[in-house]
Amino acid sequence: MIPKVDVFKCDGCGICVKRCPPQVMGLVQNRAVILVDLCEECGICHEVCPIHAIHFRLPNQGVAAMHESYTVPRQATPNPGNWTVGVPLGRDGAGHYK
Amino acid sequence: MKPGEKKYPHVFSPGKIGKMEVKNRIKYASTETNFNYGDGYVSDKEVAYMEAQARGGSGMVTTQGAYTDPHGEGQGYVGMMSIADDRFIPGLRRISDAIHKHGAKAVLQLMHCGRVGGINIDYTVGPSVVKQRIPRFREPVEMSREDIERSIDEHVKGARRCIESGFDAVEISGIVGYLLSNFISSYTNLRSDEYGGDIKGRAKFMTDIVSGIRGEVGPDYPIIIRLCADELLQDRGGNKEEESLEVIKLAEAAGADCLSVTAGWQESAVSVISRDCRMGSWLYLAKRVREALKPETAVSMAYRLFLAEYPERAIAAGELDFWEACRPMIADPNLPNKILEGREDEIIPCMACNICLARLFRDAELNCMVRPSLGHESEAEYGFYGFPKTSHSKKIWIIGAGVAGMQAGAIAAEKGHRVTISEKSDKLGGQLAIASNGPWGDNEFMRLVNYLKLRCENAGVEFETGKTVTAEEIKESTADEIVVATGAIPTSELPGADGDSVVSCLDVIDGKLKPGKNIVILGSGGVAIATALYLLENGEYNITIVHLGRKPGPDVNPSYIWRYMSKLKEGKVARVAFARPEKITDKGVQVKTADGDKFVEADTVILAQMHPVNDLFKARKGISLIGDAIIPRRGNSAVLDGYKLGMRL
Repeated sequence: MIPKVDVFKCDGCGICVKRCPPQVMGLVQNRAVILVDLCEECGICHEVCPIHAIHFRLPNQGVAAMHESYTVPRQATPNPGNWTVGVPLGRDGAGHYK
Repeated sequence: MKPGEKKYPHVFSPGKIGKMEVKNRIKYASTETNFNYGDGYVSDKEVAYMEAQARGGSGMVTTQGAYTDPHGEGQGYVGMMSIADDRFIPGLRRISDAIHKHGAKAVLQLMHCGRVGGINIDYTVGPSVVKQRIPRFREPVEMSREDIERSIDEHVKGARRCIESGFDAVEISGIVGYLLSNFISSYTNLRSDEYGGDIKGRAKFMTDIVSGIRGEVGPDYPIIIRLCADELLQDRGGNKEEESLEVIKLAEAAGADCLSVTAGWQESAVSVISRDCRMGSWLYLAKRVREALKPETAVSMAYRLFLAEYPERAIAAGELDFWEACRPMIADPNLPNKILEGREDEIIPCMACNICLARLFRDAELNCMVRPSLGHESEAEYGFYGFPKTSHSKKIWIIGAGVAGMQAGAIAAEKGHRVTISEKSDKLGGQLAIASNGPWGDNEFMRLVNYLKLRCENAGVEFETGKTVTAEEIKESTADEIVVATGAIPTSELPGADGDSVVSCLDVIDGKLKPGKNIVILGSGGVAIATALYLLENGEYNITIVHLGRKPGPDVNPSYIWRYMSKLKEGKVARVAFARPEKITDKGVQVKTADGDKFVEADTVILAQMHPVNDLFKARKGISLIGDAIIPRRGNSAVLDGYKLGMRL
């Protein structure tokens, strides 16, 4: 999955731009952007962002909360459904507990 | 009889684990994928991936490890699936159904990550409080007697759910630093109660789980267990080899039908699965285990068995029963069928680059250098099961037969386009072919070059070697699509860079010229490290690397960089850190460092900072540019660029 920049949060500090291994990030209107075709999906931008403005794991990987294959409904997740919103840190796999 | 059966009669002979009969001796070994939902449910992506593995023709397909406890203590990866509750069974059943559809045996792995687990909670568990060596992981909390008993019970319940989900066998993971191995190893188990102490006590947790599962599943259900035959932790007080062998015998006595032999922990300071480890070099462990166990207990092994000839020889000699393939089958799930049909050259070769592991440790999805379709098996446009034929065939001209160019050309031709690839030099493969001259198993890179060449040829790509393309030719070309994949070369705009003593690292690694005795390498990336390693293996030189930052190679995979750095140290390679070269003279290089200017003397200055070659891209509007010609990066980027462009052509 290609990481997603939360432009409402991003303050344009540019740390991700410096740390991106293939150097495919930059700033547009002082917000981080990713050249998605060249992105290697390594997740380093997400890891280094000091304000967690880059989402690397969407809630349920962008799939609706109720999955057709399950006879038992999925448990409520912190932020199900709308994958454009991203997911807060903590449970549901946003990454390491910090 | 198929060609593969003739060539590898033992690999393709039926095998047996307990009462389970398997059609051949190939087992897809378990690996995490991070494809699943964060709460432990199986995702469509995972099912498609497992189906691809079963469709490839292996006799047994193992799922990724499923954690057994409901709190997530055992969860070591964000996308790990769970077997802690009955509500996960429908999802797991989808996997076993997908595997059975293609005639393979489905095996489910139970895995409690122990000291490297607890990814979504604020603690990890282990037998004793022993600090982690790798900074990513946290120190564990000691498990109480109740915790241990609960954990054993959870494993047993996991095995019951495994049967209910339709799997043919259950596998227990006790390797590389997960909970079972934490208990077994004298490095992490400092307990004084019955779960610690001597080797029998340390193995009690494992034997309790195996015998508990045996009691639950009945005598006929196969139980496989993965255990270390050598922890390679002797420097930190790990188990001795005899102790590890003793543990394996105890597992057999407790009721295991198959021993999957492994070597090393994540914390071991020895190369275990990287390229510098020769293929088949761990088979002596399998042999040792085979000799120690009863004949009806099967022995299997993964670990650098990338080519079928190694397991074939070992099985024929009675040293091994099953060939486990993990990374080779991540790179190409169709490996068994391709071997069977005598199409071994068409196997997508794993380069042991370990990008798959690097991604897992960054909480990213599994990723592969040589197969960008990984995780997109169900998406037709990624062409894992063949690319759709185009309705209007185009004439495509690709300039540069490096990895990116050949990958794009192969896909475009498979889709039905008419492709020509022009190459300036007289051999194919570009930088990768040159890099294959490097030491420590880098000659394996030629496998990728040869595979891409064959794929291009099979698809009908025309190659023109020894042809230098000019901007005029591009302007006048009648091709519908032109792709510039001219790669990168080391250049420098420093004053004096055109001197006689300044050479390109590509010429040096290609063996075209011999540098002087005192050498300065200018470059901060992996290329500079590769040049230094090549020189260390090919003569006596005094080498200095001048690089930006604290260490060279920020682009190198973490599972390789520590090894390279120690090799540079052994070879007494000097480094000038935080340094920017200012001027090159006949005598050496003037550099600017954090503590003032410095002059580094040298007979030869090797340029090892790559710069893109993309002047042909400017010759005409509307043409494409891929690979290092955009930004110089690593080999995986070249394959990915070529693949993505090929999909679009």
